[in-house]
Amino acid sequence: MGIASVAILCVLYLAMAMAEFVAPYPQTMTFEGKTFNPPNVRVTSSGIRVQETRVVNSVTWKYVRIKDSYSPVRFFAKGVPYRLWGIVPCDRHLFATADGGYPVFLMGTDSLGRDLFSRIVYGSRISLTIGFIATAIALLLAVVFGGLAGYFGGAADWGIMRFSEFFMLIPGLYLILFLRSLLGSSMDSGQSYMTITLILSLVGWPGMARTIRGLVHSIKREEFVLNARLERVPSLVIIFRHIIPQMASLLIVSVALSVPGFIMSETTLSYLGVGIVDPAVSWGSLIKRDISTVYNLKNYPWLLTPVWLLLATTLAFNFLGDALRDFLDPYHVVFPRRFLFGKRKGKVPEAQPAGEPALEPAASVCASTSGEYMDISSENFLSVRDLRVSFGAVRAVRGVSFALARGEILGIVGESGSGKSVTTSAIPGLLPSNASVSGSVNLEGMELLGLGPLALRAYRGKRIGMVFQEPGRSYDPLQTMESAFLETFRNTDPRISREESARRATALLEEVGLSNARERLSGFPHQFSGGQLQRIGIALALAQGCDLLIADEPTTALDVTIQAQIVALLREIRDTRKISIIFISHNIDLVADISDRIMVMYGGLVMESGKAADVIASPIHPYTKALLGAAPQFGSHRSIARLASIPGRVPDPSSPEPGCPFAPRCGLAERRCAEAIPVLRPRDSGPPESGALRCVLEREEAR
Amino acid sequence: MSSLEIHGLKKRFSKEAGFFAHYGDFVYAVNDVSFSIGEGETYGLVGESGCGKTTTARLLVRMYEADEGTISFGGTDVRALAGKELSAYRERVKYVFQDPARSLNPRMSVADVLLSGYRWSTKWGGKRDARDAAARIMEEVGLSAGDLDRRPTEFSGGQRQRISIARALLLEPELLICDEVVSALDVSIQGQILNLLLDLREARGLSMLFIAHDLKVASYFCDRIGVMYGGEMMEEAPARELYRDARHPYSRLLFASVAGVGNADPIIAGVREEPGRGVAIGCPFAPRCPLAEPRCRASKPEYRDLGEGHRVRCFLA
Repeated sequence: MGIASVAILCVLYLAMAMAEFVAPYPQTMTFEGKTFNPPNVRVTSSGIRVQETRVVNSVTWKYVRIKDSYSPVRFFAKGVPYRLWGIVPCDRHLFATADGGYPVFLMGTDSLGRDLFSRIVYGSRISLTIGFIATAIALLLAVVFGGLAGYFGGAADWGIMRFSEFFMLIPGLYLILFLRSLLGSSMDSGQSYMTITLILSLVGWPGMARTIRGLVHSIKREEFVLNARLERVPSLVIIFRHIIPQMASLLIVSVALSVPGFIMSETTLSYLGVGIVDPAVSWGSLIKRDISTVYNLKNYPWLLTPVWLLLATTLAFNFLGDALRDFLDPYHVVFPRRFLFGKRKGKVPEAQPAGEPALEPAASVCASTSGEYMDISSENFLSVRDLRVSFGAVRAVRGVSFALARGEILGIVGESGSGKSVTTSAIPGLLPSNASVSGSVNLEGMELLGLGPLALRAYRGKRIGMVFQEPGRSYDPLQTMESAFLETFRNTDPRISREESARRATALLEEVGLSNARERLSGFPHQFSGGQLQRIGIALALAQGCDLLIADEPTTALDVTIQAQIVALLREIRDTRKISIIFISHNIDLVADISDRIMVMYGGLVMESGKAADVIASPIHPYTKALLGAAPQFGSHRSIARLASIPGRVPDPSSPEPGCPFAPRCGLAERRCAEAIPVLRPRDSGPPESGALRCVLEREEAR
Repeated sequence: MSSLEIHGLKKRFSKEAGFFAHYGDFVYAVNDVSFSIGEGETYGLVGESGCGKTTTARLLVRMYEADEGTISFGGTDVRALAGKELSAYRERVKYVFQDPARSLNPRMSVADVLLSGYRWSTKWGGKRDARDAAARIMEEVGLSAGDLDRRPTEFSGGQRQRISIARALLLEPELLICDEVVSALDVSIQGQILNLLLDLREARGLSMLFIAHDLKVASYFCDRIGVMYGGEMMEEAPARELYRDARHPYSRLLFASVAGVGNADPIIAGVREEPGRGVAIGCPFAPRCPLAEPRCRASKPEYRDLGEGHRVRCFLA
């Protein structure tokens, strides 16, 4: 759609720019006795021809075609001499009939016998440019006034906004009619063009200015603006160099969408006879009131051609605006952009990239390792095997296996992009639709991967509860806690009464340690602190009696004192309810504190796993060691020792390393580390529950 | 080099704004805060969100105007500065923001970002000079001069924070205010930035105000630490041993809550969760404090000196 629109607009604007060349005749050239001549171009077997017509009734202007009387249409034919763009003298036209031949009327003629096609082409010069010029003036005013009002605020804001409201109050049409009658009809076409443009832009700028003001107002709180202000960059430079460019995408879209508006306004004015007047011509003046009577339109339908063109232009601009918005702001795409990304996807080989096949034996070892886990966990509550998740070319999870016993807390540690959140979102099937998932997620003997949304509903919430990072964002701000609980209870028990729901909610809130639970049920989310909201979040997750709780960075947004309380609460719930918990965090100390077992992830792979105390006390994998050493500990001070910092940067999941993802940053890396992903193997020669390790180095070597 | 001294700093915000607001209903974001940063010293401000540490820092660079109190930098009264003198002061005291993704203009090249402030400073000596200075500073923070023409979005979080630091250092400040400069970064990157700051501090003899909520980082990085709560300074002590020596009940709670410490301070069990906000009289921590007595709610304790630079604001400690 967008590309077709661009093509249409290009053709129209090209024709406009080359008007004298494209139009076969000057706009004012009258053909005597050829009023309302119908379109006469025919495609015949011997090429494009003009068929001669003759008037049969000079009152109603009825024409008949004359059989076999054709004149050939010649391209680049000689015609009326003109100066292209007022400079280059020329006498060629895009097409015309030979001298003495019957004149070519591609779209017929009008009431004065003038070629309609030529007039449309000339008219486009006004119709198509007026939109741009008016938009440019309006945009300039809007950026200046909106920018100043938004940035300075206070009195400047008040003054400018009242000033713009004054313009918004004026009904545009009346203003134009008034100005036209004031200035009289003595204006030539150039003057009236300028007047109309100015009036349109004066009426049009306040709306844009208000939008820009709002945006500037919010952008000026951004830290880069604060930074520039601290650096004493002058205010005008901040507004026009730092703030306005941030809105470029929005401005482009709003220009594309307001141009047709201005074109339509000009058409309306000209239609009413107060816009462009003869001898100048615009599309509006071509469909003037006195021309488009019902009688005329019935007998000479070609007079409506400018209307279709107008429609096409307006639609083209709107589609172009939409396409631009989708391109600049991918969050609002209605249809997925297969057109652009289909090709790129094709380039990514479906076969696994080099180094990946080496993972196959690893996967089988994984299975056997998790088999050993199954021995420990008598019930084998949850087992995830060889889970792989990719989003197009981004390989977020590359083969993760683990098992979880009933009543166990598993901690997953990793930095951004390690795949820890994607792994756990895959368990209840909460990944976006563009994710491709393979592997196996087995909850008490039931395979969850590949279940339809309806079947999954029996698990989400009811068996598997989730607690998210930002408690402030997980609630509907207009919903009281009571109704949030009611909704949740209705999920399992559709006929639960309000009283019963409130009673059960109170009990749950007391269980998670919220005081005054009964009274606070009627509170809205903003009336609670972050820690309280996170407690309520845990209560809601427990409301349907889940036996697996997935907590994705539940304490990251909380203060450290509250964090300790939430961690204590989760442990307590595990003890009282005997549920299993997967706790995800980037903070290895925190994970070690709460978990029975921990799993360290990096680059979409498990690096090391094992009993929390073992892994923390004697880490083997260089990454685990680096992670433990990177954060300073109490008692260490910069005056004693430098931090053991890890060089390099976290891996990019869209272009994974062929070998161990940590190899580029690892001080002990050998050549084989970069060549293939090491096999996941038992962490120790000791009992199997001591965990798994993905490193080629032995314990002694890794020291 | 100069030292910064602030005394009795207060900043209040009106609770309501707009045409129908009741002005006169205030909340104190910073209430009676005093401390000093010596030459070449690194002073840490720690506390939880909303404790007023960032507001204090912003008052120091006059991003906000203080309501009461004095700020003096090398003997000049900072609150009275205006025009060119204020510009000169802001060249000597630079502010580094928390999130480099937000504090670097994403639509400008790194060179433009670095030089946008330089252009209007007293040190401006033409485009070529500036570009050379920018190239030198990029090398100093561990990037290359060739990176100047790239955009901030092309860099990783750690590299962007390096650019942020380069921007602040370009005007050769004497005091660097680091507002949570490592908390938006991955653990494995935090160490790189901290080490970079340490090197710069050594090489340039910088004084620093280091704001952090991560107590381990603050204890490692700073010389002295001030613990803030509810807009007030609770305790101030040498950084290295504060985790063991904390005397104020709030500081004890704060340090005991850090994960992986295994500190079983009995104070955790007694603390109430409700935030004690809007306390006009008395200690701001009193509503949550398990040790609080009636006098804690009736009047504010004064600073008590415990020797060796350890000050605490509590009747009971």
